[in-house]
Amino acid sequence: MNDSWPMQLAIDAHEMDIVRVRPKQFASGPQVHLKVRTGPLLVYCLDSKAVTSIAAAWAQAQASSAHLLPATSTRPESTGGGRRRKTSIQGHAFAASDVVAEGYQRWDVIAPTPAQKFAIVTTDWLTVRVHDRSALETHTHAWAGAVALAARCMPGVTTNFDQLLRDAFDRELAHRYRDEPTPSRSTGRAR
Amino acid sequence: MGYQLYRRTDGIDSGAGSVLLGHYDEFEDALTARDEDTVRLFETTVPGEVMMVRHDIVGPGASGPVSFHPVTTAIERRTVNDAAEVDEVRGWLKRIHAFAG
Repeated sequence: MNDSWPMQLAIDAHEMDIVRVRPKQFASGPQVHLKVRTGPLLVYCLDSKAVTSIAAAWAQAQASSAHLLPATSTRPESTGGGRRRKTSIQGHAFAASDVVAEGYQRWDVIAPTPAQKFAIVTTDWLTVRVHDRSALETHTHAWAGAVALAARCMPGVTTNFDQLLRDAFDRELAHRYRDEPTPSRSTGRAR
Repeated sequence: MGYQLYRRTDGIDSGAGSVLLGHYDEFEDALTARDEDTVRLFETTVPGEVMMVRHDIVGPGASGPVSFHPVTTAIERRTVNDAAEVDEVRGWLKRIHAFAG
């Protein structure tokens, strides 16, 4: 059977959450990997291309979506809310998803739209629906740290997060303020 | 009033520009057209090239009747003249934008 089986993992990100970035070296060789944890999501980056491409996506999200998101949002109540609350009081927290990223990760960022009040940040087959600025900060903070750590322990890092962010804001501001289309002029008031 | 789809070119350093690609009654139709334009551009890339493409869908939204809805994609080309890779990218864009709404 040769048919591919496309898979897409989607998670919802609300408010601030745990961030942890750690290097990991396996006994099998000298190569260092990065573990990037943001809330329930744990991404293993096997090389610097994976780190910087995912970081570029979050830099773009920061530039194009932050001003369109609310400061905070409310999580939808889960159907088993009582049981869930009891578990969280006990202090257990586990990653819900493990993702392995190797090589350049294609990415796509779509800002909030009329029908969709959240930003969507996709890196290959992982989609994060970002519901507020706090969640966006959480992920951006994690990947800024990942790039900084990758520069110290992985070969081939040729950029830093500040540069990725500057590039993203340059793209954003160039079009938002300098070359603004004016479709409203045709509907302007009559003289 | 509907939505206008713009493809953006380059940044501040090289001079920003816009190409108006069309007018659409519904946002979803503009997004579909945007994805097709992205695929068309991807077809022209060469192996190893990372294509970054930026579009704005301009129309009613959170900032009023002329709201900007940016969509940005970056994809690395892996093979030469491989229709399967292009089809896979088309499917990926369709799949991930189904998560909207």
